[in-house]
Amino acid sequence: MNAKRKRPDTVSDSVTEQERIVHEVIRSKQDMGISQQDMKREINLHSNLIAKCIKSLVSKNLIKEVKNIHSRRQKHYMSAEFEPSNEITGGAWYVEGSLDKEYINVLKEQCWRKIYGLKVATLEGIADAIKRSNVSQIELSKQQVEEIVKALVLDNEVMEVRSTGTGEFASIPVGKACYKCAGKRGYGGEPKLGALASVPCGVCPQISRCTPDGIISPITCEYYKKWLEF
Amino acid sequence: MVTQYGIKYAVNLITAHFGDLVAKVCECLLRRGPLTLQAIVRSTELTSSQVKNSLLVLIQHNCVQAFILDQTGEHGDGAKQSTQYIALFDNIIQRWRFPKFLTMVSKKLDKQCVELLEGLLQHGRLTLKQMFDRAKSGQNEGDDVVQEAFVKLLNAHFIERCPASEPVLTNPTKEEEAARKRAAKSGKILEVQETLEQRVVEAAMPTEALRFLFATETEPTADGGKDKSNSSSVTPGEKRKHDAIESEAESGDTDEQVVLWRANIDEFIRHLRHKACIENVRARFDDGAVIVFGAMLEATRSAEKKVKTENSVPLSLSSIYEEVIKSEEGRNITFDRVRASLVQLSCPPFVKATNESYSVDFKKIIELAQHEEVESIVLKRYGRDAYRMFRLLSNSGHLLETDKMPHLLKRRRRQ
Repeated sequence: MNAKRKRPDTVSDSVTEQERIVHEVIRSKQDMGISQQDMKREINLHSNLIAKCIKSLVSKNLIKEVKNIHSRRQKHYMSAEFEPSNEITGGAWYVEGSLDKEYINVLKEQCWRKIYGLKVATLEGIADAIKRSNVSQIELSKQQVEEIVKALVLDNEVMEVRSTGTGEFASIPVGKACYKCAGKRGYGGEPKLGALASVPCGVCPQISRCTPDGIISPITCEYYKKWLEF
Repeated sequence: MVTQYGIKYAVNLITAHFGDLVAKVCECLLRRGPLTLQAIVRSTELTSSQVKNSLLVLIQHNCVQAFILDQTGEHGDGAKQSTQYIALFDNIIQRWRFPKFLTMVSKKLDKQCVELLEGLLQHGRLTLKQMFDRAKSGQNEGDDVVQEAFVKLLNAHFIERCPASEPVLTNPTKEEEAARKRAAKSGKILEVQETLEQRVVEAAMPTEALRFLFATETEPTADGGKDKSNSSSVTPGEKRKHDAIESEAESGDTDEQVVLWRANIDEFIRHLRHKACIENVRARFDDGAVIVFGAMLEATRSAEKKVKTENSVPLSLSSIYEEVIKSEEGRNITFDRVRASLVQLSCPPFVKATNESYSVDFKKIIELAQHEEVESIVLKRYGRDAYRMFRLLSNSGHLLETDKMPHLLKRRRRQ
């Protein structure tokens, strides 16, 4: 058991038999916790009764409600002595159950700048550069750096290439994955608008229903009219 | 393959340029494939002379090609040689680009060339004399000015000799068919089925030597090519190109004054294709690399056999350097800089290096450009998250479970 424990085990006298059963089930899930719905499946008690037990246990500080990113709508409970695991909190990228977009964006930009500075960088190189510059005392594991860089690849800010061992890859072993900035624009610019996407019809959700003599037609289309007034 | 919308659009173009009657004949050919004159008359329910005139207009403007399909081989005796007409869909569709072609020439060459080209595009095809006459009545240009412009356009391959009026197409004999199938099965040749339209166009086209040839002497006996043989009857089994020269000779096009010339659409398309590739390179690399890339295309353009080539002709480093320093921007670029740019251009692999020579990988550049186009649509239509998911799926190239996608994406069903 590598789950953290904060306080020694205490069972209050005022816990009823049902509450004890509910608490045991919750505690058995350790740092993963369990949702109310799943509890109903495991414990053969009426859901109203379970809810009552939960309420009571929470008020007695024996269990606590935690946020689970996988099932945000449902309430998730954990025994008080455990800390929620990364799997349900989402790890470093989540704060209070939702994606910490601002933090991620800051990190993405930092990574991009490091890659830009290095021209060609491996994951280790990027991680090193960040540690050395240490802008806001961020401690990033290699896996976290990888996740950020992969997100940059998907945003088409950075591209992944294999080292050839020659030219700009001279200091990198052949075949190793490395990263370069894609394109010449600075960070965060919009990718170049394609030809079809710059025409209203190219991205229109109603295109399949558009006919010259229908209700939806190019003749009456407002977007098209506006676009033609260039 | 031509879609229904393609046909509709083509018919619209023809109607706009030539009127309903001509468009009716054109539509008939587009929908029903190659037909004889009688078949067209039957199908369109027009008079024979109406159909004939419409066909003449369409042929004049390079939208239809006549040809003879030689059926002798199949039926034994009794050569069945009736003229059929086939609509050239690609040529029709390119008509909407004429203003663009004129702009291209005005940028590359001069005003007189633009005037000349305009005449060719308006009239479909003209002889040199007709071009002179037109210039005289219009802008009062002298013959020599027109001829100078003509030669400039010809050297740039923007104009070409018109194709043969009625090439003969022979169906391959049974032995040839069998041999080809065997070779294809053993993987020796890539079986690329040419459409009938492609075969007709190829058969009609003059040889490379003749296509851009302008003999300045106009001796009556000048024949513009050494291929002309004495026999005037066309026998099946001869090479198609040979047939084309034969039929050209037959129609008496030997006098330079009556050679018909037309705009060479292929060359314009090729220029546009190169331009798109250069813009793509410009978006990713620095100016030096763009100049080197442009020089490579300039040097190998005339060697490209067809418009949709996959790779350019390989060039050595020194040939590339020579081409680079020819241009205004490239004059001061050093040999080492050229070499460095070529290395740059190999990642992403726009330029392939094999055995000390370099060639442009058009296929790769266009593939990447196509991906970017689609991604742009996804981004605009469905938003950034969908854009990332799309890129993830298209980069990985195989199925992914929703859960395997990193936390940094919102969870949604895989489309």
